[in-house]
Amino acid sequence: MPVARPLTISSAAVVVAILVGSIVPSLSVIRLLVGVPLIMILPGYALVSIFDPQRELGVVERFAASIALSVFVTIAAGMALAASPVGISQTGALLAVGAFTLLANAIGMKRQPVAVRAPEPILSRPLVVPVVVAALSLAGMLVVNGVTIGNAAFRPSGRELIQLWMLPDAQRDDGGVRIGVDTRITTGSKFTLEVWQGSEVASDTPLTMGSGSSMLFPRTPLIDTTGTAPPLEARLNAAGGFTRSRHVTWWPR
Amino acid sequence: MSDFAVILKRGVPSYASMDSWWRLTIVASVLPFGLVLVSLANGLSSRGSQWGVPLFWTGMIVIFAAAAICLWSRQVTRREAVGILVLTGLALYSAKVLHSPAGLTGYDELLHYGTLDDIIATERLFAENSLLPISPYYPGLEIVTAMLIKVSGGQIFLSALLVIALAKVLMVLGVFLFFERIAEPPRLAALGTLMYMACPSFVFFDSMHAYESLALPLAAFCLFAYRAAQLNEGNKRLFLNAAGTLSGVAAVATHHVTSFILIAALLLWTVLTVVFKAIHSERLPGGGWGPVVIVGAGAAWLLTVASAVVGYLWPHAVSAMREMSKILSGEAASRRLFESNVGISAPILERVAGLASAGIIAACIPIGLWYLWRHQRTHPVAWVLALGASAYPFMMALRFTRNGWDIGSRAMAFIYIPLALVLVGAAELMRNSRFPALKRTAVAVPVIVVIFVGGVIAGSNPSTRMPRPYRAGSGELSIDAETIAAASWARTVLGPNNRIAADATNASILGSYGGQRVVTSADDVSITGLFLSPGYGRYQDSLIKQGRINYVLVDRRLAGTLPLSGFFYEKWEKEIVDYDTMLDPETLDRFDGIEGVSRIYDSGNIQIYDVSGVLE
Repeated sequence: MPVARPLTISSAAVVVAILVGSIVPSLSVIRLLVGVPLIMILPGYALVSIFDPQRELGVVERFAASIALSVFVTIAAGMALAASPVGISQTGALLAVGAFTLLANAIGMKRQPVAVRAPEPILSRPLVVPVVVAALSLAGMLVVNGVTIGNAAFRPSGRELIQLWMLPDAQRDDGGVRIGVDTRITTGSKFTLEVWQGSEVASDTPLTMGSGSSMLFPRTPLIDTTGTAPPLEARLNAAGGFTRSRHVTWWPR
Repeated sequence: MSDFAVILKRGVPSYASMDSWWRLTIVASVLPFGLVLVSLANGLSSRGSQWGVPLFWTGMIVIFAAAAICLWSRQVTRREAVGILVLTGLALYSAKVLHSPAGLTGYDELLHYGTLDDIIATERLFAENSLLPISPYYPGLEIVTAMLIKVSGGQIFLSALLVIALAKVLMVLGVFLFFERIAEPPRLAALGTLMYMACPSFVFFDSMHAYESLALPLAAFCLFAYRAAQLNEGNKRLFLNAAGTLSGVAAVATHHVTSFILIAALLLWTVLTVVFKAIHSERLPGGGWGPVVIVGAGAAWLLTVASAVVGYLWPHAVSAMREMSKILSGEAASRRLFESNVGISAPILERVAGLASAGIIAACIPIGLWYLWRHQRTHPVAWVLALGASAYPFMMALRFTRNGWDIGSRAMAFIYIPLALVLVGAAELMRNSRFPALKRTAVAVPVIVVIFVGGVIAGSNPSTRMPRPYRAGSGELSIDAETIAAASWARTVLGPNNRIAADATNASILGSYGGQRVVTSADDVSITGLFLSPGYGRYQDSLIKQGRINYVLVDRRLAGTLPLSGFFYEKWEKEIVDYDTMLDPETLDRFDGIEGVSRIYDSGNIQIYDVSGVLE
């Protein structure tokens, strides 16, 4: 195996990480897969390669040092970026950590002696069996978990989630309000949205809301805008299966 | 020849030499099975089934026992040991992830969420975090996560999981490598590292996305690097000193208590090294310059950035000491163990396991210390560890106090590093006994498992160990889709950083997922007075003005239930307002019908009121 191969791979990974970070859309798994080593392993590995070019420390020691030193480099880079006009931005993070790692890799390659002993193989053949077994078993576990639990905190627990809100319309100067209705789970439920001020009904609108639907009533004017006027009230009543109504109020100012 | 000398001479610890992998294969096969059981247990528990508890413990024991059986063997190779430890550490971490696999819901995670969110949004450090004001001054973890998010474009949750997963790997390796350079013989390091995983905070608390979870692994690596530098491994003293120093400095910028304890341990180690050099004629490897740099960095950080930490930590320590002295003098009653704030007791089996675990550890400490004395009394670092392990009974005593319980629990993450090595010394004596190997294993493995089970019990609340059906006023159990939806609505529609007041659980969600500026007692406002004092009048108006509160959130579900955490709004609310057994629903209606107070949001159980009219 060529002696500088790990550093070449590391440098290539940094370049790929920078390219992927610049090109691939935001929520790509690929970006996360290259981002984790870029932030948490490669900067430290580059430093280890500079100071231990002949690999006199063991594989485990070098790996642990790679993580610890990467954390230090990332924290230091983050502090420097935050103090600079660039800030901890995507470009700043990519360039700061990427440039540091590439530079350190280059120094590491230069320091690498010609007759260095071959690195210990990390993934020898016998290790393939437990790794495959673990990977398959973990995949099965994840499926079971996905089926059985999901996440209680992020899953509506038995009731339907319906939100009604009313806020002053900042775009208008006549005291008008915006009213919003959001449903998360309801499938094809019928509602009535009543709006009134004091004893006067401003509107009475039938609604059919689907799952995850959202409605905005942006121009509901106040009937009375005097200083002593009663509040504008909105009530969302549902037909069937959903007994509790939603009720919001707005005091004119 | 001592093993210390063996390392100096050969640089390679003594392990079984054959290249065997079958133990790792077995563990790799068994761990996911244990996790499947934990996952099923969580599913059942979240639906209110009682079957979740036995299934959860079966899964956890399967995970830990598989590793204990394999590492108890003298034939385990170093690579196998490292593989087994890393897999077991990650499996135990997965048990925490499976608890909440779609979002961060741990209380401490929510406290830190705001700091991370601010760094991502503003791209700057040290923004205010009203939920945990000290958090922005120790931004190491949040910087690493924010950098990963910026580079990968990933979500906060997934990025946080990956950062802590790698921190767990570093923790396991750091402890293992440190132990390997102290334990006699070095192969004890593997079992010692497994014993460390029995620490009360390992499975849940130090698996949260909170500052200690990253600082502790950095500190463990620092200890290893300094020890390896002392031994001049691979002729790399300078590099190892530098690596240890840099990781120690990173810990300084990440967590206050970890950095203080690391500095104290390094100072003690350095002083003892100097003393031992003066006493003993044999040549001892000296300490490096690294500890001086870390002490300097710690002092500089404290003086220039995080001076507020003194005011944050000091009151906790003082009140714990006061309560302890009152308990000892008979002036105050001690806290009842295994009982929640509202008097709910843990199941009998859990109490038995918890007490058995503490009893076994207490019995093993003198034996382990004797083992340490016999084999390593000429090593200064062994004395540091012996002193650390001896603090265990004192920290356990703190668990009898209400104010010190938290300190006693948190300290275990640090105490267990020396304690694990002392325990493993006691285990080695048993392993060297004349009993047949099978009998030794049959006794030792269950004992190790009991220590682990007791650790998990001591480090987690029965009500939060597994997901449970919704319960108001009870921390993590009070987080559901409606709670998060209200916070998300506030962020989206009201915009971030509005001054808002709410009960403790909703406040933590509003301050994290909601991105709001939560008003707390730190703003010199009585939140209890605002929500629980009788009626609504001038007093409440004055509180709103005093706290410049724009919005208040009311969760109607607080009425009709007792808070498992012991309070709804503030820890001391029961001293001010006696709501007897449960909150009156009318107490929560106080903001309805008040002139100028608009109810702007209603999701059935949760209402948000705009009270800024009161400020005008």
